[in-house]
Amino acid sequence: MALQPEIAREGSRERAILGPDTVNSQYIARIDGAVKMKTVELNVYYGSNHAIKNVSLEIPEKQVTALMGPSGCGKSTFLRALNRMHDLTPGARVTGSVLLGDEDIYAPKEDVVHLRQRVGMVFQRPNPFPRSIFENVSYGLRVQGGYNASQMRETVEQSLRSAALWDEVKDRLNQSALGLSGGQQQRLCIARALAVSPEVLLMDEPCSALDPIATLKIEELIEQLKQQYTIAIVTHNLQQAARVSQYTGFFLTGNLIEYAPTQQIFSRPQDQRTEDFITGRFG
Amino acid sequence: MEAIAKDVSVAERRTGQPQIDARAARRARARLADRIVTYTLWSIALALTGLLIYFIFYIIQQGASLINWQFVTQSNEAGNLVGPEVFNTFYILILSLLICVPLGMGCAIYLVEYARQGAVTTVIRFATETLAGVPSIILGLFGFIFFASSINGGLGFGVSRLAGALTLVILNLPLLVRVSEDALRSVPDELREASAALGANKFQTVTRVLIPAAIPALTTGVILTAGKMIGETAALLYTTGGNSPVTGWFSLNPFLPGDTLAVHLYELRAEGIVANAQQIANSTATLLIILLLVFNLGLRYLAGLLNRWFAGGTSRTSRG
Repeated sequence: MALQPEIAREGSRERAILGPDTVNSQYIARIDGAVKMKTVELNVYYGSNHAIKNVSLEIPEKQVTALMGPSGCGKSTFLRALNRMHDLTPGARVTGSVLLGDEDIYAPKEDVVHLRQRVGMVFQRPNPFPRSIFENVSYGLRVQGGYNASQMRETVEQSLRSAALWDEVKDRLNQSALGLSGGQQQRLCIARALAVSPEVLLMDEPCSALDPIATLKIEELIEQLKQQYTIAIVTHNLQQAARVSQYTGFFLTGNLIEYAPTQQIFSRPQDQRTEDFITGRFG
Repeated sequence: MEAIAKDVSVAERRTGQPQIDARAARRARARLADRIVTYTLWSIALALTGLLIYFIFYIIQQGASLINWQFVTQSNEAGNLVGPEVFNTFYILILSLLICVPLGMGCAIYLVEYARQGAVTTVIRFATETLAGVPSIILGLFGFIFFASSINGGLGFGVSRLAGALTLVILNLPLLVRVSEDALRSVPDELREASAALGANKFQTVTRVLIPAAIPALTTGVILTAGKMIGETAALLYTTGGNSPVTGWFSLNPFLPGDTLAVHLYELRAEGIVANAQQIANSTATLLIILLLVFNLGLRYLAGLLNRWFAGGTSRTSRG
């Protein structure tokens, strides 16, 4: 199932090739340029459900990588493996490795808390803490400790500016974050993730609960953020993937079917299933 | 829809009436049923509220005659002033809350956040639920044997306010654990994830996110528990002692005996020997009800403040 000889054929240098060194002779999705994160034969199980099947993929540095696929294809599960969120899920099991730089984040000595500061996450539904805007953004710094009040204020302002939210909230930093609109809340969650200066930002369908205007704002934001951060975004919105990303991966029933530069995957998909998905024949 | 249409056409064939009438009748019947249900529910709510109001007024009217500042704050040997009982009621309440709240919340936090759900947690839950069903008079006897008495391995605290407070802890712990568990469970998992994704460890997530988010529900739990504690009688009969010391009754020594208002009320009714025992009992009941109301409202107000403080300026109002 996972073996995709037709997409590993000659002449598609940028696209996946067969990994000669792997027992399962897996599909390894390679990229040109600097690699920020890399999964090697990643498998995720929920109990007996094999949710991610031997996915090997490289995530380019300071670019936007979109992961798309129909509901239940495992794209979110894959994303959550990248900062070990599955540690929180009882019954979830991860095998294989995920490299951040050249460090395996699933190595026994790895400090999960430090990892999650380096790999931040924005969730599907805006999930601000039921506390003030300031408390929300400064939360990551507070749990790290060692920042004084003025450093904290400065970081909060910077993060809110980066998330294009500062002008809207600067006069009400001490008010509850729950008073913000959905789009503002999501940008607050982005600001909150940026405050700990992560290297990678994972976004799990960040716009699916937002209206089109708020979505547009988040997309513009992603465009700006990629100058500083490596971004991986899960989306079931094809246009969004096409608009914001440089690389796109297509997932189906836990398999990575195809991974290529976005332009290429949308104009010349190599796999029939990818083409079917893009042209709206299923999913 | 189909079923209705079919019914209607059958009715039409049978009666020869135009179809539209049957539909209108159907709608009218549905409207009537809706009204009947609405009024029934409304009257049940009204009856309950009315009962409570009547009950409070009746008690206040029966006992108002003796209540004045002196009745509440002073003590005399004849036993027709209840200063010591008022003091003891709050003394024992606060002492047992101080023990009960950390224990109960700790247990709930462990069960919800730390423990792997399985045989152990099932046994703990079963134990707390069974404990919740034990009659308070039996816990009172247990408290006497285990906390007050020093024979047969008892702790030997004597018949004292401490023994009473500890008995109340055992009595109310199950309720508090249960309510705190529900409070923590009601916090969406998304907040746990958000906190973890920002590099917080479990302890930080619990103290900085979960407890503040659960404050309204936790306060409700504490208020329920405190209300039960203030009014508890049977568990205290054998453990706190029947009479308060007349001199030095405001002492903070937990090893002194001292009855609460509720115990005092019971004793006046059951074995009061002063001439106006019944009247004092009535006034004691009135006082108890008033204190309970004031205490509940005060705690709710505090909870509101706490919630606003955690949530920032224009927060949702307290659900507590």
